[in-house]
Amino acid sequence: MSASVLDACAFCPRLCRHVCPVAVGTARESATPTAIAGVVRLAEHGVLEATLADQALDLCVGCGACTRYCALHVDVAAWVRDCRTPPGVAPLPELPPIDAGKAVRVLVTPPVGDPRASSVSGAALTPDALGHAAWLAGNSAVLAEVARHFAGRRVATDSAAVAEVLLAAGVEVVRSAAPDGAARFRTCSEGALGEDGQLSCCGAREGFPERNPAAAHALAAEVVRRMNGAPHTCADGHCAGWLRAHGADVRGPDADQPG
Amino acid sequence: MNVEALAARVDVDIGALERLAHARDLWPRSTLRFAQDKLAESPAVVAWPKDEAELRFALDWAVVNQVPVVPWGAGSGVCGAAAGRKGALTLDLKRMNRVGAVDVATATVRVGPGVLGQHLEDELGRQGWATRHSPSSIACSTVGGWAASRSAGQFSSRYGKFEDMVVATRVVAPSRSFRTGLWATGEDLQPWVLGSEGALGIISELLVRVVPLPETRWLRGYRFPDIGTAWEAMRRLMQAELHPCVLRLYDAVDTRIGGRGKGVRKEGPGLLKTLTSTVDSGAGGGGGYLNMALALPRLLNGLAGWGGGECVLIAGWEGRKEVVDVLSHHGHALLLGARGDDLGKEPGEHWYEHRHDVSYKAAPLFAKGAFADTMEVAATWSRLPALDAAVRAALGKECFVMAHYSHAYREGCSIYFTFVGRGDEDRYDRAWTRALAAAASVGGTVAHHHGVGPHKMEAAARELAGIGPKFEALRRDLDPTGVLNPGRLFPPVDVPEPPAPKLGIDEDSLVATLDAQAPAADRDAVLARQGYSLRFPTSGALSRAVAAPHPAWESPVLGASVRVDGRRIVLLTVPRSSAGPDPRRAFPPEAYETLTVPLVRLSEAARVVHRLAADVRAARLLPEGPELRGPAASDLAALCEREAGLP
Repeated sequence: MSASVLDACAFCPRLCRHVCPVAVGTARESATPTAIAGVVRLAEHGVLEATLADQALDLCVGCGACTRYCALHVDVAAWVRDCRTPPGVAPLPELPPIDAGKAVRVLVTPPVGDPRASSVSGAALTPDALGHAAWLAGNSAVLAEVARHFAGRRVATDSAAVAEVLLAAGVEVVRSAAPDGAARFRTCSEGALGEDGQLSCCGAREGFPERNPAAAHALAAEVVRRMNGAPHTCADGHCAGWLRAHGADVRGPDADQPG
Repeated sequence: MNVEALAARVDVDIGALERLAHARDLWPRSTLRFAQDKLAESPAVVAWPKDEAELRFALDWAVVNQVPVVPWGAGSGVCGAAAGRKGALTLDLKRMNRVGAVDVATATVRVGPGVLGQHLEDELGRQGWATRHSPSSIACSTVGGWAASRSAGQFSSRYGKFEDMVVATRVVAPSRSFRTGLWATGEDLQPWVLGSEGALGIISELLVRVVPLPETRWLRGYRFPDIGTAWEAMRRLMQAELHPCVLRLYDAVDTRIGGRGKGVRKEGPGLLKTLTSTVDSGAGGGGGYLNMALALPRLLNGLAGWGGGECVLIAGWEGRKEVVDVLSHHGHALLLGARGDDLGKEPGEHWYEHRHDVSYKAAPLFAKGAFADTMEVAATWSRLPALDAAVRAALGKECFVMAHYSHAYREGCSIYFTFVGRGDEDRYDRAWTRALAAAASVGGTVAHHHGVGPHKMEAAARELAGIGPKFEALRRDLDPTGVLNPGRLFPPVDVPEPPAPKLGIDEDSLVATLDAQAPAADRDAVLARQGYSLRFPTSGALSRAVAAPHPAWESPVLGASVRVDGRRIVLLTVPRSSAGPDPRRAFPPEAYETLTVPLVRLSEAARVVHRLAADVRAARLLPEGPELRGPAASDLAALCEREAGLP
């Protein structure tokens, strides 16, 4: 894993920099996977101090946005987790990779407001599930249930997380407006790829504020700036609380409730 | 250096991580050195101004402390222009990333210089618009960088290069702030600012031309028996006013390696297939073989030349469906008539879907100890074969070479060489030195859209010989203490005064080099006798052509000879360039001796149509002005007249 990431990322022309929430939210070049891999490579070769590599690795929030965009599907977050001493935060390792790009392509495809589309409200996917889309999408029993429930129907949702699960189950998805009229902020696990101007992480991801408080606060500030004072809904209590603490008008569960 | 004073107003970082990350841009020479564990020079401090006031504060601080300043967008430049310098202040502009609302009436948008390209297109797309500027670096480059280096995108044949899209700028320089283009008050310095790579000031805001999101796109592949036939087809298509958004020709080597022509890949030599598979897969254990092969570049290039010269062209149109239908119909017929075999939609659609993937493929080469680089030159159609041969031969002595031709204009085309070499700096430098000299020797520009940086600054200075004193005078005015990217554009070069360009018509390139001060009647009569007229008519001396109205994607002046302070300066005749600023239209009319300008053939009847002022889409998809020419003119005129009658 280490060698392939070092080769692919350290020499990559930063092709994922626009989806990396830390690189975008902080405007730092050092947070890109290219920069992180470059520092680790030089540290492994004895050119730089190992402590610099540790600092570089702490700049990754582990959201996986880069992997979803990368043409080579390099799992940067997993590599970062392996490299950290002690091992740190990364996406759930036991889950298979999810083709979130597929979800996004479908989400931006018309028809919007198709009258044949049905709502997911009241169906098998509850709001509690939104923060755990990755787990749901990797759970064959859940997928079988979702596929049975929505068989032959087109489903409208504004949630990338719900769409991710539905698509994994083979259900056709179209996009709809947020049900309560509020703009929607997506959580890390929903894997937004920036098509609606959102970052893929607000900085609240478990362990990141402790590892890198400056970058975490900067990310939150950037997300709040992009909210532009408008109320937003957020399904993940952890993110909702973090954003409220940074002055955002966020509807959703209380802080420290996972969703 | 009192960094605390700077930090009191602007976010800064003096930590090693951030300085390292700003130490090098994507100049492959720097990447090669990185692969060899050589550290690049880091700046002393990185600062992120959030607005023009903070940018001004940072520049003032740099002047007071005499600290060199390197502007930084996202560091995607491939010529080292943004590379760090010891003791320097790198100004990272990415927090100046505001994107305004599109002004529908003027089809423009105000943007900050630090907006990443993909973010700009995403935001414009939400508003139903786009720049359609699509460089392969779009994910990792900024709008300010595009302007500062005169970038080109994959749809340049339709929309022009980025300098064609910039309507106005605000610039902060050490001595003063000023505006250019539409916002200019007084002398307009826009021709000097665009392409100046931060040497004259730092762009703090841009007004950019936008177009409605295309309704539809039409892409198709064609196979030609040899490169000369394909060039001729491209030239005829571009001069037929059919306005393709994509015209992308792969040479025989690239066609074979890429498996672009049906059945072509199977005919390729085994060595190439093996090399390609090694490069593409990035599999371990291939580095030794790769470097062994690359040690014998002439043999490798010779082997690549076997198997025939078939090459594939991707052609595409996009925009409003009715117009795309007309243009693609006539374009398709023209390409078939020019000996192109129709390969169907797949090659074009495949290219579009994967058009950025190639950027991932260089990484394994560097990791295996080799290097990969690209060189983008350009020339008029008449000089294109000589340019192709000269640069290919120069690079081929040191590297494995292939090329594609992807930025086509009425008057000429760019050549984009991709070359791979064994990873040592001497070989890299030799290849570039020879190739730059070769390009210049046959009348090609040394840079079409990658800019200059320290990499090409001497070659660019030779290409724009004579411009140096004018540029230096501007620099002294705007940056008296010389803190902006010192020592870059343009180093002094010793070049004798050139002779005046030869007057005459270049029929292949559809341009004429004419006396700039001759009476209009004499000039027009001479042209008419030979079957031509000016593309952009002017009633007075041709020197007025520098200010002639023209479509954003066309250039009314291709080359010029001017007298400045008693010395002749000859500005290369080339469709587009990024060898620093473009001064071809920046002189007063009386300074011009000759001008090289585009022509039209009188044999091609012009159709007069109504302007569709109420339909911005149609207006922007057709040539500005009342006349249409070429095979699609009648159909387009009918379409325009039909729609002009609508309420």
